[in-house]
Amino acid sequence: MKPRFRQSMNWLHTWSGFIFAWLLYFIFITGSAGYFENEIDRWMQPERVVVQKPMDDADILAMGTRQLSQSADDASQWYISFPSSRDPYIGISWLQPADASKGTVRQWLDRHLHPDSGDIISARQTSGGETLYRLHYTLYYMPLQLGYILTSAAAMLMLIALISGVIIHKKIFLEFFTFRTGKGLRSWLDIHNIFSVLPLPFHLMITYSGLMLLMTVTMATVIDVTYGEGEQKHRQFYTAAQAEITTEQVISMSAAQLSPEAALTDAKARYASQPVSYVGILARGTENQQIEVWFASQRSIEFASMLSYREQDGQVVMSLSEGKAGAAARVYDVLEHLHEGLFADIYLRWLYFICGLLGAGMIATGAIMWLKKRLAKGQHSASCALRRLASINAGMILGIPVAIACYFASNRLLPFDMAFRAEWELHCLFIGLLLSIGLAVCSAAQSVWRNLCWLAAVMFGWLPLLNALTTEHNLLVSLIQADWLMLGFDLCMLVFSAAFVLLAIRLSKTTAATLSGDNVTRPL
Amino acid sequence: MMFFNKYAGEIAISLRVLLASVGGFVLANLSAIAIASVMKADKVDGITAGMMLSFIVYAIAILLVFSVKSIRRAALSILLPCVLLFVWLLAVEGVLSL
Repeated sequence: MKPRFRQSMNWLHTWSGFIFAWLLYFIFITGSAGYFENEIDRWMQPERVVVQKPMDDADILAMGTRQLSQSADDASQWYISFPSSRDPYIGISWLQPADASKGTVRQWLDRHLHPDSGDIISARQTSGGETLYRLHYTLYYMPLQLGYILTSAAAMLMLIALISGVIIHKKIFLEFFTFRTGKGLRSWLDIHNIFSVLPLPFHLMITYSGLMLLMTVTMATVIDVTYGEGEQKHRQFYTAAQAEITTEQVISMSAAQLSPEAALTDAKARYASQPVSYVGILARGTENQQIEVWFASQRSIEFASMLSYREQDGQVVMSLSEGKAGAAARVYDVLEHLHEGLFADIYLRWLYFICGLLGAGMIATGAIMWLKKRLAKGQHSASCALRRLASINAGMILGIPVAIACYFASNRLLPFDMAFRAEWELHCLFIGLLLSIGLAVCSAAQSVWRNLCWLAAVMFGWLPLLNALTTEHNLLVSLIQADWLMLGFDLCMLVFSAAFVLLAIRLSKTTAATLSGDNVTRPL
Repeated sequence: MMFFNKYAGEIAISLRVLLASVGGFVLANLSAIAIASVMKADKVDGITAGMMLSFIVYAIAILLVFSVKSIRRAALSILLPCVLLFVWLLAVEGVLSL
């Protein structure tokens, strides 16, 4: 390779990685947290009651439909969710119609049921794991479209940084096995390489599929050309693109017999080994009423398979979806499933999470190197702005974990019946980030990372304590009740806290060494 | 002229950034429309494929702009395919109109 070519790729790598580094870091952290969306939901709604002993599916269905006919008789769509290992509760959800006289708007509502009584559990309002994971592409405090476009722009630069990063490596595999400690910038580069090369397939997959998931926003012109401009016209495309191949058959059930119970029994007979995840009743009370039975499929990366029952000419027709119709749509589906990882079991889910954190580490070390190089050039005359930037960088990198800890803490501390409680949890997240940046800017240059590490350690460490003080759940109770999700969450928070403590201690030692004249690693 | 001489480097970089981001985006969109119009057999699938592949076109365009030696060649390597694709889509395929 020509040296000039490598040089220009090096420049491209540096700048495409740095420009949106903070945004990308935010996207990677919140996106990684999203892999544990359901587990986070459990912690953020401790009122939910875990189904401890196995229950009959028919009983759960009866319990759900009874409650739905009491609370949502006017809804056109009902869903009843069955307990699973990630969501061990009974849930109901319905599409509330817009009604001016009652002041309701058209929206999906969901509640959980007590497994003993079948009553709706009154639980705190929370943004939960879903909003936390949605942050990685909506970015909050801005119109949705703008969030999508900014996320896509960041992802495009990430893709460029990844490709140019591979190009500038002379010996990618040799460098991967090289790690030199205590060599300042050289060590940072080695860490950066490890974070990048080991999970490179993950980084490429997640970036490209991320771009693709938002392509109908960023590449909308392509749809405009065929279907015309405007949401109405684009909807035609979305409907057509989502078309699935379905096989239909008339089954030996009389139309009069068709009920959610009968459909569930029939579906379970067809897929005896697979657990039912949802039963849905759509177009309720109309001629086209349809009953869906969803199974949690673990066979491939398809998240679920669904059987649908409806009445047609006095007979019952069952249809089974066999995946998307078009070839490109199927590729899209595969990439979408790979990105979301909904199919992943607990081990693969952790691998996803760790890969995501390695990605965040790659971005953070890249940003640190960018600053270190420029600070080193000026040595003592480094400009004030550059130093300020270095402090803000530290505030961002450790502030985003702190912000997420604030989000969790606010869930326990905000009043139970507070108006806009769910929104305030998110405000707390961003307040936490701002305060961290404030602390970083106010700290002395040599102690900024250490201070923030201690802050993060405290913020994560006290979450299990906060849980014990404000709810009936604590480590011991969770263990006795076999409430693994609650226990797992509390333990993870302790592990994160311990990691930050270790980092803080290590940073204290480095700083002490630097101050005593052993100027090997110059702190930012 | 003084201004151009003094900031020649900065102007060259800015032009390349502009070429890569805007030019690359236009080229990506045109390529996607071209792929969609070639895959006429399945209209929806063609559009999906076009949009998916457009990001690869965009990435290659950006890398190309920053890897060629002269800014003139960089401009040519983006603008020429853009013009060719546009004319082809306009005149032969008839999917675009002025």
